[in-house]
Amino acid sequence: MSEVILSREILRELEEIGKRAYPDEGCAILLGDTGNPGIKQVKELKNTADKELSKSFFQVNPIEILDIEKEKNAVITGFFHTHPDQRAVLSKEDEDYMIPGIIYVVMSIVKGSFADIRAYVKEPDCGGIREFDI
Amino acid sequence: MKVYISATLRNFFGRNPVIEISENNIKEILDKLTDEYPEAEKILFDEEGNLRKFVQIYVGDENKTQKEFWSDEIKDNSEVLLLPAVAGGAPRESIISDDRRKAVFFDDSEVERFGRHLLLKDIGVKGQKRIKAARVAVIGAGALGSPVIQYLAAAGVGTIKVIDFDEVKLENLQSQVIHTSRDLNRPKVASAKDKVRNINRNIDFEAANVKLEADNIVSEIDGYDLVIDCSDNFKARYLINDACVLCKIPLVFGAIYQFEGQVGIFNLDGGPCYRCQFPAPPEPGLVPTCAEGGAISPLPGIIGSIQANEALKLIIGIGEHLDGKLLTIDSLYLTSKILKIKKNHSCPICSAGAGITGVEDFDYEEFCGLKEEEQEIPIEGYTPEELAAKIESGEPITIVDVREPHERAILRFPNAIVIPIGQLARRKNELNPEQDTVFICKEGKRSILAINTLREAGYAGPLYNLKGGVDAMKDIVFSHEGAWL
Repeated sequence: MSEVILSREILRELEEIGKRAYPDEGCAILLGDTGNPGIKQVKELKNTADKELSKSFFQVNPIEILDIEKEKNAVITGFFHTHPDQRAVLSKEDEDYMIPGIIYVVMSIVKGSFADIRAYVKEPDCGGIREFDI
Repeated sequence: MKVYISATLRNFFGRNPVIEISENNIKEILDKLTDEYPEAEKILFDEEGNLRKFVQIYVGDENKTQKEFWSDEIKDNSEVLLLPAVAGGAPRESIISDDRRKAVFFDDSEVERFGRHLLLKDIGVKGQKRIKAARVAVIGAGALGSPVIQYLAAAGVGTIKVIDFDEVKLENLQSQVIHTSRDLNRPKVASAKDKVRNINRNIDFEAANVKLEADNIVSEIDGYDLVIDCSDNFKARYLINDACVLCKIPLVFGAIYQFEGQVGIFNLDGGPCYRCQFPAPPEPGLVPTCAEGGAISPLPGIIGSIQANEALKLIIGIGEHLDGKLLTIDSLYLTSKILKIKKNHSCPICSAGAGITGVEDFDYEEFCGLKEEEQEIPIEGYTPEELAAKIESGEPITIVDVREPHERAILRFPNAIVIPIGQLARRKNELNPEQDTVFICKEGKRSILAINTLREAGYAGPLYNLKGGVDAMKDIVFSHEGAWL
């Protein structure tokens, strides 16, 4: 597998999260079904980074993720975040925080509007990072 | 004690959500987990033995990720949680650091000169300071280099290095607008230097009148913020790309051919490189160079201006750019499109397990098929003088012209038969294997491809190449004519 399938509806939801968070970074968790490829559900996450930092940084309370994985009968497929007025490429920090095998979708929001979306996955051995087709 | 493993990390622990462990501090728990699940060790810890950033350790609802807590005793009824750290930051705004920007100042004349930039909200003083602080290397002072160098100078780039080994020739003046008739036979870098000085004497202009090879490219570009590829051949493109990857310098690529052009940005913050999209060059002779195939005059102006614009956007840190994208423009039908370029995870130069670790160790001549002497069957050729002597002596020979119709219209080769390369194999019976057959093209490269094509098709007669092509034949004067042209 070297592609991520996003329905128009999911894409629209992600765009809305990005636009709503602008000029701060927005973030979400991407959920799928066991045994089925693709992303079936998006759940917005709270960016807990300090107000001054949130324009160029995001972080999520891990307990929020723990609650989601215990509550939801779904598989965690990936994480999503936005880069306000920046490119949809991974920063060094993004790469450092990537868990191998999990899909990371990055959306560029320029002046409040969608500009680009890309998906990346870290190799299982923490080696390189592959870009996936969307 | 129960250790809960987050669903995001479970794959490395036999997909177990909960693991029972008798140890009672984090250090011992981690040791026990990596003993039982050896593949998890590489996931949890980096090469220096530090816990990776994407892992967090909680005891109950308290974050105990920091090493200082790892020896603390944990009560038996507590739950230890291995959770993901989900975080990240935006990529850097500009390729010029804030420290370097802050060290730049303007005098009154500069405020006046760059007023139109300072008025733009997206550039302003901050952006113009970044432009002045920037150090840019432009490779090639030809068709693409002409607009690139002049616009970078006009925009106020503080240091511009131009690398080119060539001299200005009359045929360059059709598209290389940085040079004029007065610059004929001068090194291109000298001509470029004069133009830049006429634009702005305060620019630090560095001229390198050298041919870039594997043994000098790194020292020529190292320390620059950006490289702009304005070269016109595949060997240079791969060499420039590879050196930029190894020196971690972003690259603004540009290329033109006839009416079409391409622009892209490679190797920006570990993004895809030229090789990710084009792992190998086309077979030599298959795609004519710009010198062979021609280009309409304003085309390098269009493509070079976009290269300069992309370079300035990277320096200022604004807008959407062609990072990991390739813009193609057809100036004849005014169409354009942008192709997305993905990073190739097995790229021999920019992937994690890259095979090329130094440009000196890579044979670019062989890679681009330029090593004629090492071909399996060497191609025999005539020099223009030798061919002229054979024609003069009346010796029966067959001359095959493989050039395009529009090239033949510029200069017809007398008594040559015309067979396009694509038809050679099926029309080989038109050739007489009892006599010498000489293949001609513009520069003597496509004719080599033609000979190889015929040999692969099983043609056994003697085949020769006109070395240097029709271009090299121009100065030959036959006894029966006043001049060749």
